Amino acid sequence: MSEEKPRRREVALFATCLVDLVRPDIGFDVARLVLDAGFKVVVPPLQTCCGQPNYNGGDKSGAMAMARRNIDLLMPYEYVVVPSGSCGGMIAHHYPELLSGDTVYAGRARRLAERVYELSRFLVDVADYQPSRRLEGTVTYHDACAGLRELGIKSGPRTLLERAGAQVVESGQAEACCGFGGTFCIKYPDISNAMLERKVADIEATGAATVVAGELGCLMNIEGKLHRTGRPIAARHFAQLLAPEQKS
Amino acid sequence: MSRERVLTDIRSRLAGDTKARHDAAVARIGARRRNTVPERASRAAEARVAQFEEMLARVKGTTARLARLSDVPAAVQQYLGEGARVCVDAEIDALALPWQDTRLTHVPWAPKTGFDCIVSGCVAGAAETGTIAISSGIDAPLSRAFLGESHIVVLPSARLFGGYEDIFDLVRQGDLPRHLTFVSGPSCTGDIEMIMEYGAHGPRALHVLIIDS
Amino acid sequence: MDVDSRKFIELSATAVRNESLKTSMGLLGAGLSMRRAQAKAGLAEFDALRDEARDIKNDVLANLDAYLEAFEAQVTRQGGVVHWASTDEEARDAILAICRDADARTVTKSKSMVTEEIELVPHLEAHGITAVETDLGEYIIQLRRERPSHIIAPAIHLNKDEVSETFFEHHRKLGYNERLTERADLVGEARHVLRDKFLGADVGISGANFLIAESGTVVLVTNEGNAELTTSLPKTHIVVTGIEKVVPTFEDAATFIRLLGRSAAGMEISQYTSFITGPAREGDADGPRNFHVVLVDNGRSRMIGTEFQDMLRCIRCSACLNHCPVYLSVGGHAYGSVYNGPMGAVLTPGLSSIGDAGHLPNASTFCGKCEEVCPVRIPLPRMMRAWRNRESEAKLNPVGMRWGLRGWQWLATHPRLYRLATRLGIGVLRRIARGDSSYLSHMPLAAGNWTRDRDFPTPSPTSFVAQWEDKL
Ligand code: SF4
Repeated sequence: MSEEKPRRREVALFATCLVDLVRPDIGFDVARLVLDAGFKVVVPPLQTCCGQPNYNGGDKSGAMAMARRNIDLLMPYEYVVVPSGSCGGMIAHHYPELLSGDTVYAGRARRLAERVYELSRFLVDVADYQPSRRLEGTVTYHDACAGLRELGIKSGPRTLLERAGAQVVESGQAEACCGFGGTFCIKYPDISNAMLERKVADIEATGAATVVAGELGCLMNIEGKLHRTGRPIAARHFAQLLAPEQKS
Repeated sequence: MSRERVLTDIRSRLAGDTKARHDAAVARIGARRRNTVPERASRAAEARVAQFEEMLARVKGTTARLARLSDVPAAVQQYLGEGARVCVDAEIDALALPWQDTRLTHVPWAPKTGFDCIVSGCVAGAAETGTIAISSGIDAPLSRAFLGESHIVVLPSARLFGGYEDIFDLVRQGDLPRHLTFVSGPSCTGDIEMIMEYGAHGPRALHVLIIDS
Repeated sequence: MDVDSRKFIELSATAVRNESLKTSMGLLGAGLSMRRAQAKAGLAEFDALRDEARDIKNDVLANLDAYLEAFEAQVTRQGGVVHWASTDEEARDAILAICRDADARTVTKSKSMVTEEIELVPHLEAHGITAVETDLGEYIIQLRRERPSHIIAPAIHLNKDEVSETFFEHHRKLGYNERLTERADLVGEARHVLRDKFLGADVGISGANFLIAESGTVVLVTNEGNAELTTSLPKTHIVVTGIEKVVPTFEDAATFIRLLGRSAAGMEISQYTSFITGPAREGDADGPRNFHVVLVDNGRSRMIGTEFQDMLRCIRCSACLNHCPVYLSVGGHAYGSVYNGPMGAVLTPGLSSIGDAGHLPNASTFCGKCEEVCPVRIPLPRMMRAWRNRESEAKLNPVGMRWGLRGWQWLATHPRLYRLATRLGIGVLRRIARGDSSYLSHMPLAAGNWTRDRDFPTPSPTSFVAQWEDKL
């Protein structure tokens, strides 16, 4: 460790299709955070989707094709950072399972899995990041399901928010599903809406001005409901709150 | 025949040969291996009575500690009040306790007879959950414990074990009774709006007399 | 097994708007998840017991034929009879034949999901035998001619007033003329009515929570005491249960007993746990002279050796239902199957077919809560996903879904076309949003299901990857 480091270690940012296509600003926030934590950021230009829609929608062979492609794409990097627990879980847990019978890719999938980090896990465990950004006021955190139950993401994002000075108030049902579930919200809109109504009521009951999560699908779902029902609560990815202010 | 069909369907999907599976099952059963037994089921004898009382109280059972068996009739009367109609089961009856000193009405056992309370013995107790074990047998209908309005059980503290395994070891020493029941509190139901109501089909109250000697 | 999930979407749409169901489900979800959490927190060994329970069941399933034969030999030695049923029909026939042998006119039943699965009661009634459910919840829904909506709280969808109305309507002819308003009085009235049934029944039918191979013992768990009366008073006792219920020894049963009540309702143990071994002994004061066990396969053996085998570990505790946000939104009846919630979503297509039960494994967000609470660690989401694969392979899911996913995969593996296509798509959305509004309140086609109840954040015109490339 005493050795001099001639150059910063490289992190490949896998933005996820939702951040890439719907909320590119979050991608830049993530990049600034990783940079601020002392790493170099690379964005592999040929990245697309991790394959979750296919994997969860019964298209196993499609998901396998997407997994192989993403493994090829991401293998060259020392770290791969993903600002989503579900996409992170897809790569870290489901790729090795999907490809366990593939003579070429089984081993590669396992090796990649060791290098993939959900953003908060990377910032806390690898970078021991001290946010330079200062936050005020109260926020509440929504534990997105896949991050929580597949990757065990629970304290990391809260730690980061608190290090930045935010006060995190817990809601009664922080671990309850918001009803997004990928295509679930389109296939079963009534059930999805019932779950979402419970979720926003739970968030509202905390009195926090902002609900924070690490999963854009959930955030779009929650934010869309907050906006539709006129509740003055902001929904933010933790990267949006924590990223250092942009220098012009 | 259905038997062969079911077994063939199962076997066609299992790995290994029938003989090997048979041997594995026989060995596994014969070993009677204890699995994880919670710490709370393994406490020393002195700690058990208090533990039993606490656990049973949590599920709305009550207890009283008596110095000797001959205190039972008075304790029954104290619990039920004078004039209560009690049915005393054969095991307790055989102890020739001083019932004459009480003003309880004794009712002989029959399923259709109404009585306020059945006073029975038990096989053993398990402190881990405030559980007592009762069983069926000659002169001991299992159903007796379920047909009274309340149930008083006499439990000598020497027969209060830590956990369920100890009770199993005891009953396995002889022929297994037809019906062994672990009782942990009075009969109850949460089937209407999830609120517990007592006295669903069995006794509304369970009272255990723990005999110290 | 009567299964039809085709109306799931309509039924769930009605269910989510049913205020009284919402109240019931709120009580169930909040109450039981809190109680389970407390029970788990109170027992340091809880997770170790779960691991052991999983391992015990895995061992049993790997040697299932041998354990069943061992169980059968012990039942026979005790003077009981084991019947094997490959299908629900065989099970119904075997039970009816035993009832006829016993000249049965009335039968009391304690709760058993397998008897629901094989539709036993309608069959007995069609043959002139009156079968009375004695579990309070089952009794209520039997009077109402409904199916259970929950595997251990079958009448959870009803409130006190509905129960009161049902009792008033049905008990009047027995001389109970009062409309009761207190829960305790309702329980008391059912106790009186059913006491006579217990005393008068010719046959008692129960399920089984566990079968102990060591001794041929049947384990039954209840809170009410109805199983004990059902199995002690009549001259004949019939146990109806699935082939997967066997465990090797009493010690193994202890492990499951420590998990069952805590997982189900946060109870350290249920009020009554009965271990029944054979018919009455010589000189016994009560107990049946005839003891029969009907072992039902009905599709279970088909799951062995497949990606669904782990489902056979299920001990029907209901924890997965009590914690499932989908189940708690729609209740049990919407599923169109007696097994519902996450366990039903995996088991039902196994026992019937994915064609009949297609919606069940699809109606999940894969939130994973069910697997988190399952006492035998069944990977329920993984198996629901496996059913979706089977459904898709058999081309039983909507064709638009299959093509849509195939198209998405094709684009995702052709990045340049992906960039082009997504840019076009975003362009369309931005045109709908008229360029400036930051939220869309309407979207076309299936996406309209999103904007029916919530807005959609308008996507930026240029993707992150494209902007990043531009900056370099
Ligand atoms: S699947 Fe697991 S949680 Fe659900 S009922 Fe079965 S044992 Fe209980």
